[in-house]
This record gives sequence, C-alpha cells and structure tokens, in this order.
Amino acid sequence: MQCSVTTTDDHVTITLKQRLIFSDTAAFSPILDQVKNHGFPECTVDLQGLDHIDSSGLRMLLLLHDVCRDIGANLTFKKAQGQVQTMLMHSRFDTIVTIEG
Amino acid sequence: MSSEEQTRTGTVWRITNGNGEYRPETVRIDGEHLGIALASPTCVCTEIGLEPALPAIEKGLVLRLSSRTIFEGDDPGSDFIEAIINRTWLAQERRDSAQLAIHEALANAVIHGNFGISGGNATTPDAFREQGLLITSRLSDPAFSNLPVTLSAHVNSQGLEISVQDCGSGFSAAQSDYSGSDIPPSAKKGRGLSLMQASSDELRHEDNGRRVVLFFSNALP
Repeated sequence: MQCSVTTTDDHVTITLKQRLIFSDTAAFSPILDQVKNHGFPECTVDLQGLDHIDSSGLRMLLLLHDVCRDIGANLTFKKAQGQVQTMLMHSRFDTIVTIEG
Repeated sequence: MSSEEQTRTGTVWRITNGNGEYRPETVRIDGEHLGIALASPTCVCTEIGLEPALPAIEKGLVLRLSSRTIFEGDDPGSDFIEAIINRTWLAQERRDSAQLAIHEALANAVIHGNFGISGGNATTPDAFREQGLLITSRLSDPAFSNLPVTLSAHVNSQGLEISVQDCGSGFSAAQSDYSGSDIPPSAKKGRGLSLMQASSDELRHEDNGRRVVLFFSNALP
C-alpha cells in the first residue's frame, strides 16, 4: 500500500495507491487513528491510483466509514476504477458511502 | 510488500522426459522470478527451507511457500494462476476471478490458518489495531512465519481443482457468516469466503478446514 494523507482545517484526503490488501493491516491502523483524533468534518478517499483491493481492504474502508460516522464526518470515495470499482459495487458500498467518479 | 527486494530461492522439479522423471533445480522465486520458476515443465516448486512438496501428479502444479513469503510477496497467487492459464488448464476469461479466489484463500491460510488469528474479531478500530500488532508479531516469529502454505492444481475430466493448504488448527465453514451474495454492505467479516465462493464454481473445505478446494468447471482438458 502507498498512502498519503493531506489535511486542511476541516478536510482530510487519504490517497491510496497500488494495493489495499491483508498485508496492509498494520499500516492502515494509524490512518484510522489520525482521522478519529483530529475529528475532520470531511473525509475523502482518493482511489484513482489503487489497482487492487481484497476483502481485508474492504474491511479497512468500512472501519474508516465507522470512524467517520462516529465523529460525524462526511465520507466520500472518489475515482475508483477497474477491479477496485468492481469490488465496491459488488459489495454495494454505494448504499452506505458516497462514491464519486 | 517489503521496501527492499529480498532474494528468495526455491527448488523446482521439472519433467525431463516422457517417462515422468523429474530433475530438481535451484532457482529464484522472488518478484518476477516466481512466474519464470512456475513455467512449464515445472511441476513442483518449493521455497528453500521448507519440506519438498512431492510427489508431483500428472497434469498438476504444486507451489509451497512460507507464510512470510506470501505475506511480503508480490502476489504469488497471481503467478500461480498465470502458470495455470499458460498451460491452458483454465480459460483466460476466468483469470480475474481465479486470481481473486486464490488471493483470498492465501490470505486466509496465512492470517487465520498459520498465524492463528481469528477472523471475526477485528470489527472495531481498536480490535483492528490489535490485529495489526499481532500480525507484526507473527511475522517476526519464525515459528509462525516459516509455516508453509501449499497450492496445488490438477486437471481432471470435470475441470480444474486448486487447493490451498495451511498448517493451522482448522476451521469450520459452517460457523462462518458468509452466504454468497447475501452478505450485507456493512459486514466486516465473512467477505473472503463469500468472494471465494462467488469466484469459483464450487468451494469445499477438507482436513478440518485446513485445506480449501476451489473448482473451476470450464477448464480445458
């Protein structure tokens, strides 16, 4: 996983690249803590550079959704494509998270 | 994947002639080298340090890797599927679904099988953090990280069977929460098995859950 986090006073953008899979569990946890501790009202996940996601990666995104819900933040997934887009749609994530092209 | 390329070696057994004789050879199996190692006429490939996964079977391919290699590797399951497709044992149209199924099976074999980490507990951020720490601990312990996972593929008259075998304490599929496409969007467990089931024509568990067998019915003879 390649991940970068950029912030403003009220917005955090998490940019994910390459793969989000089971071996990224330890690396993704601090991201959840960062979002939770800072309480940003807006959170965007940029998925344009993400090539592959597995069931563990889907769980990580769901945990991020839970964190945002608990702090009252709006969560948006953006620019998912290919296998990642297919997985998000197959898992019906569009029913619980805003997904933008 | 580790930030530094690590050289890993394995032993491959290749069919040398029509009499079924095999010749062992030491090769690199890291990165792009794994795909080369699995190319025909290789029938068995075992990472150095692991017990050889012999005997080979006719129209079969066996790959045995350590849990660490699978965890840190560059998607060895995809290399395995690619080798199968190159042997025309599986239609190219099934590549993506087969790679997804094998990837999920390998993840389960490493994390839940060999590392012994429960699949159903990491459903909160705190529990997820604890799971991450436990995974890191297992990786640094050779007693866990050296445990092998064995992928086996063979073709029969009905199609292609791929099995993924771990060394864990076992698993009961009946106790899982997955149920095909019924899994709710917010579910944080059971997705791996659900994806495996959706990506193959048949899925079954053997050896008390230590071996998952995936069947693809449109394999070429």
